[in-house]
This record gives sequence, structure tokens and C-alpha cells, in this order.
Amino acid sequence: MQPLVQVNDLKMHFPLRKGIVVQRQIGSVKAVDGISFDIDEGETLGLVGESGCGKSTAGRAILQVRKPTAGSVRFRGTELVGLGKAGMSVYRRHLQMIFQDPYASLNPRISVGEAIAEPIRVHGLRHGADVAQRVRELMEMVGLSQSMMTRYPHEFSGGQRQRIGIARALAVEPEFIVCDEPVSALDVSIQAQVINLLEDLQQRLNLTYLFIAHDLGAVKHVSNRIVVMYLGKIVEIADSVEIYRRPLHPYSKALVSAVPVPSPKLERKRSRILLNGDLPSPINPPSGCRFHTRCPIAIKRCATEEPPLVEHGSKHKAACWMI
Amino acid sequence: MTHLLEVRNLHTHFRTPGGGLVRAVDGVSFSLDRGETLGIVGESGSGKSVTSLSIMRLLSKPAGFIAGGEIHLDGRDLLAMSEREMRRVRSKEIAMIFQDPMTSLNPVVPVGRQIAEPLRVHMRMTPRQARGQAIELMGRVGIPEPHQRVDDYPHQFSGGMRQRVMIAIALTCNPKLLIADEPTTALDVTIQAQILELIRQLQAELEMAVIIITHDLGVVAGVADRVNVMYGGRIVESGPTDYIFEQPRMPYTIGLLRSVPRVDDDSDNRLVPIRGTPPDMGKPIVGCAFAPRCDHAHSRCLDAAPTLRTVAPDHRAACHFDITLDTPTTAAPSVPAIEWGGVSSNP
Ligand SMILES: Nc1ncnc2c1ncn2[C@@H]1O[C@H](COP(=O)(O)OP(=O)(O)OP(=O)(O)O)[C@@H](O)[C@H]1O
Ligand SMILES: Nc1ncnc2c1ncn2[C@@H]1O[C@H](COP(=O)(O)OP(=O)(O)OP(=O)(O)O)[C@@H](O)[C@H]1O
Ligand SMILES: [Mg+2]
Ligand SMILES: [Mg+2]
Repeated sequence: MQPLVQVNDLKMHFPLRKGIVVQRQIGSVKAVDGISFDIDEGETLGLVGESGCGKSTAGRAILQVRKPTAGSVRFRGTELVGLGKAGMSVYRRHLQMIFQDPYASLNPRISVGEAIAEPIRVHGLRHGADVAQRVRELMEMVGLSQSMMTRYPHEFSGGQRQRIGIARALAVEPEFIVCDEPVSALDVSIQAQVINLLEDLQQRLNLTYLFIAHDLGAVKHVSNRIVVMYLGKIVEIADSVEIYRRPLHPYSKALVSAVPVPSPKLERKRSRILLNGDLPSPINPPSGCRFHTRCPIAIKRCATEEPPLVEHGSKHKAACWMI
Repeated sequence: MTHLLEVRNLHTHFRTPGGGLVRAVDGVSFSLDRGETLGIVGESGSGKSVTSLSIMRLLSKPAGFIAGGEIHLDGRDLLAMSEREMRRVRSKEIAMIFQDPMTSLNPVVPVGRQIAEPLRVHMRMTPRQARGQAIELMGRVGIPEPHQRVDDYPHQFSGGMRQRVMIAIALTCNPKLLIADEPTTALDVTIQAQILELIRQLQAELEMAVIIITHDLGVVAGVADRVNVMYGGRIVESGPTDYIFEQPRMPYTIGLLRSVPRVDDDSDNRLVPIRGTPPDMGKPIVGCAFAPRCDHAHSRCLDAAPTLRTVAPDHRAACHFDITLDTPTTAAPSVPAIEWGGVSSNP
């Protein structure tokens, strides 16, 4: 079966300019620097890694929010890179995004019903009275009562706003949704509600997700497979249980060991792999393996030669010379 | 011996522009011993930060004020102190670090000078001594090459390194108590692990007491000796960390523990969320603040707020009933429970 989304050697570099009147390009931020993976239909692929490693940029590059610097993104086999605005408009509706802060994407002067109706009208999916019917359906689907249709964004709690954001994304009947930190801004006791909602909707509507989050527990829970990124590159991809049980890359090992678990007994027994220092700058990434400057097991070769992402057992890939 | 810190029946309120009153902290009592680490958990708006700002007497005035209660540090009543005495406490005895160090660091002053400043003022060091000590402290909190970085500005540091700078500033006064309000929430897990390890090490070396405020149950499990769970401006459960996690007795704590997805859980089970939303602190809360979301709620819960009663030795919970992890969520509560140590109706 053909994967729903195929990402191949995708790159997104941002020019770094200096000067006020005459701008010169003095380098570039290699936010995403050659990543490849497939996402199957109905699957949830998790994307994790330190802040600034390029997760959101990768999500946006896949959705063609901005033209990638290089590489390929295929949706049901069709190349999206280079399609242009007109070409993309056919696909736009199938590819949606849910953000961390739904409030920022909602117009405070537009009622919630209108906000959900807007994408339906823009894409001409329903007409006349059917629009309102569809809005009611969507609100019901995300667990908002229909009586809230005429209310304004500020009258809603964070969890409810996230539901509105989800309803808006669903309004255009997408097949693929990039969920970028969808629960990070929510109260702990509300996060589980939204995660369950996303899972239910996936079942019901056969959705495919790319799920980006810094809460590794949440990512593990929702994902079938997980991609670990470091400084614009993929260091490991594996089944979500496998990556926590048997991480291969030293960065993944450190990441997994750093996640606290809500059990004092387990916490006392655990040993952590503490990394030194911070994430280096993506403007001048380290040579060779980008992780070698912080890696506890790096050898000489790591500083000069970049390790390829290779298969280590079924569906498990990692990029490290020391495996 | 007296406790290092004792908070008794603290009430902290805010007046809102509309003439309303927010009972942000509504009758909170707890104590903390020397060298102990207390974790305070609870969701957004539950009163965690206001509790610590009350201890520091740093509430935003004039909206916020302490409406009642006592706060004793080493037996002295902080609420009875003059502003001048209180400044001394803040510079020599209690230090505080926040989630976003950028808001507490001065962006136009090199970090070394910001660390040296309190040393000059409060420890009466010469500028040279203070600079030397600042470099030493920077090294101690794990900032690499402190000699080279001492004249750098805050924006030249990463989030994790800025938090280390804040910790260095906090340490200048050798505090008895360090209050860390979400010190790692803005950081990546790998950096969080470094900072928590640093706090743990320093605490052991300096015999500091620490209050760590967080919404992450995992963080609490790893660092705290005792835990206060807050909800709606009150402490709803309090006890040694192991009890809170292994034998929680308040339905909110139980609900939280059940709803959090864990990395050590390989099952595909659906999460069990807590329904509804947290209370609106701008409205007076009658009865148990958690009742509208509680699976075990009874008419009594809506009428009367449960007191924080002792449910086991050294373990208190605010619930009218004897709920445990084993109580089926569908079961209606039976006989109201009474104080532990008394004749329990439900042995
Ligand atoms: N439009 C842009 N112009 C220049 N640089 C950018 C732009 N967008 C992102 N970057 C840079 O690209 C890198 C990756 O950013 P990105 O937002 O993708 O990270 P992330 O993994 O999503 O981080 P976080 O977990 O903090 O959301 C960062 O160094 C960021 O500063
Ligand atoms: N300056 C203020 N004016 C009015 N109300 C305030 C003010 N500061 C806090 N509050 C209110 O007091 C209550 C408790 O706030 P607090 O900051 O202690 O919450 P918290 O538990 O620290 O939450 P978070 O996890 O979001 O930091 C909230 O309802 C908040 O809206
Ligand atoms: Mg991001
Ligand atoms: Mg707070």
C-alpha cells in the first residue's frame, strides 16, 4: 500500500540577513536539513526533539505553508513541492493543522459558529442552510454544545478553544492533520480530554496525524511510530513502544531517560543520562554527526563523518556510528 | 523544634477592576522543615504561585492582599514584619526563581554583575571579591567557562543557562529556603533533568529547604519529600510523596494520576480524563470545589466544603468520603468517613 504522505530529503533553510538598507545574506538557518519518512493512512506519527530542532518547521514544510528549500513531499503519490498556490488549492483542504494556541488563530470579534462556518464557505463545501447544519454537526463532534455557537472566543476556556480549533480544522474534511503541540497550553486535567477527542476523531474519520509535542508521554500514547529529531536531522525512527524500551541513538537514550514518571518508587531507581550543554545553533551546526558535541560516546569519526539513517531491526532506524 | 516555615490558615485575595474578589488562596496551612523539599502541584489558577508570592510578600499591590492567616519563618511572623525587615528576609533567607528567567533578569546588565550585585550589597563584598564570587557561583551552577561568560548579557544565554544564572543569584545569599516556581516548565526535558539535578545537589550541599511548584507530577515524584495538591485555592491533599502517589485519597489527585499518559506505560488503553473544567476563581465556591467534576460527588459535597482531615498518619485529604484508588468510579459514596484515629465507620 502506498503511504499517504511521503517525505523525502526535505530541507527548509531560512536566509540569515544583515544590514538595514542593503540586505546581504550572511548565512542560513538550517532548520530542517534533509529529513525522510513515510506516514501511512490512519497512522499517527509522533515527532519529538528539543526546542528549536525543527519540528514545527518540518510540519509547515510538509503542508507547503512555505516552499521548502529542497526535497519532496508526496500526498497520495502527488508531488506537492512546486505546485504553486493554484495547484496546491486542490490539496489544501486535505491537509490541515492544529496549533498550540488556538486563541491566536481565532478572530475575537467573530462568533464561534461563524469561525467554524468560514472554511466551509471558503471551500464551497456546503451552501445556504446546510452550512449551519454542518457547523452544528462539527460542534457536536468535538464535544461543544450547540448553544455555544453565538458566543465569542474569549468566553471559552483553553480546552474549549482547542476544541474550536479542531472543529475548524475538521470543517474542510481533511485526511491529514499536523497537530503542533495541541495540548501543551492546556491544564493537566484537560489534556486527556483533548487527546481522547483526537483519537476518537481519528477512528471515526480515518484521519492521519503528524503529532508534534514536547510531552513524550502524550506522544507515546497517541503515536504508532515516533521520529526523534536533533538539530534539523532525524536521529531515530521506531515503533513508539520500541523507542522507549530500546532506544538506539545516544540522544534518544538521553531523552527517554530524562522524562520524569509520576512514580516516586520508579524515580528513585532510575538512572539518568545527563547531557552536557545546550542545543548548538542551527546556523553553524557541528560537523559530522550533529550530536557529537554533546554525545557521551562519541569517537573521532563522529566529528568528521555524518552517520546515515540506517535500518537496525524491523522498522527501526537510527543514525549513529556506534550502534 | 519549630518548623522552618509554617503557614497557617492563609487567605490571599485579589480585588478585580469590576469590583469582584478572587479568593486565590483560601485557607491554606502547611509546614516545611529544614532541608526538606515540598512539591506543590495543581492546575493553572489553583493558587500555587500566589501562595509563594504571599510567603515572599510580593503580591501585586494594591489588587492583591493577605486577608488573613500567619506565616512564620524560623518562628518569626513574616506578616508582622516591616517592609525593611522583609527586604532583609528576601535578600538573606528566602530566594525565589521563576519559570521565565528573562522576566527577572535585567536585559542590559551583564549576568556577572547581576550575580555580583547582591553580594556587594548584602554581603558587603568589594567589587573585585563579588566578581570573583560570581564567577565561582557560575561555575558551581554548571555554566561552562564562567570566566569567559561573566560579561555576557542574558540574551546571549539559552533558556536553561539563564535558569542557572537565576539559581546562582538565588544562592548568593545562602538561603534557608529556595522557592522554585515552575523552574523547568519552559525547558526541554533533557535540560529539565540537568536543572533538577542541580537543585538536588545544591540542596544536599547547602541543607536548603526547597518548595518546588509544578504541574508535572513526574517532576514532583522525582524531587519532593512531601507534596501539597492544590485545587481551587485550597490544599486538597498533603502528605509524603510516596503516599500521594501510591495511596492517594482525594478524588482529584486520583483523577490526575489516572489521566496523565506515562512513558512507562506500554498499553494502548484509553486515557481516563477528569471531566469538566477547573473552577472560576472569581466566583465564590460553595462546598467542595472539585464536586462538579467528581465521580463520587454526593449532595453533601455541594453543600459543605470538606476539611483537610487526617486520613492516615501524616497524610491529609479534603474529602467527605473514604475514596481510594480501589473505589470503583461508579460507586456512590456510602457512609461519610470520620477522622483517622477515631472510630472509623468504614474500617
Ligand atoms: N521563519 C523563520 N525564519 C528564520 N528562522 C526560523 C524561522 N522559523 C523557524 N526558524 C528557526 O528554525 C529553527 C527550528 O524552529 P522550529 O520552530 O521548527 O523548532 P521546533 O522544533 O518547533 O521548536 P519548539 O519545540 O520550540 O516549537 C529554530 O532555530 C528557529 O529559530
Ligand atoms: N494580580 C492578580 N490579579 C487578580 N487575580 C489574580 C492575580 N494574580 C493571580 N490571580 C488569580 O489568583 C488565582 C491563583 O493564581 P496563581 O497564579 O496562584 O495560580 P497558579 O496555581 O500559580 O497557576 P499557574 O499554574 O497557571 O501558574 C487565579 O485565579 C488568578 O487568576
Ligand atoms: Mg514548534
Ligand atoms: Mg503559577
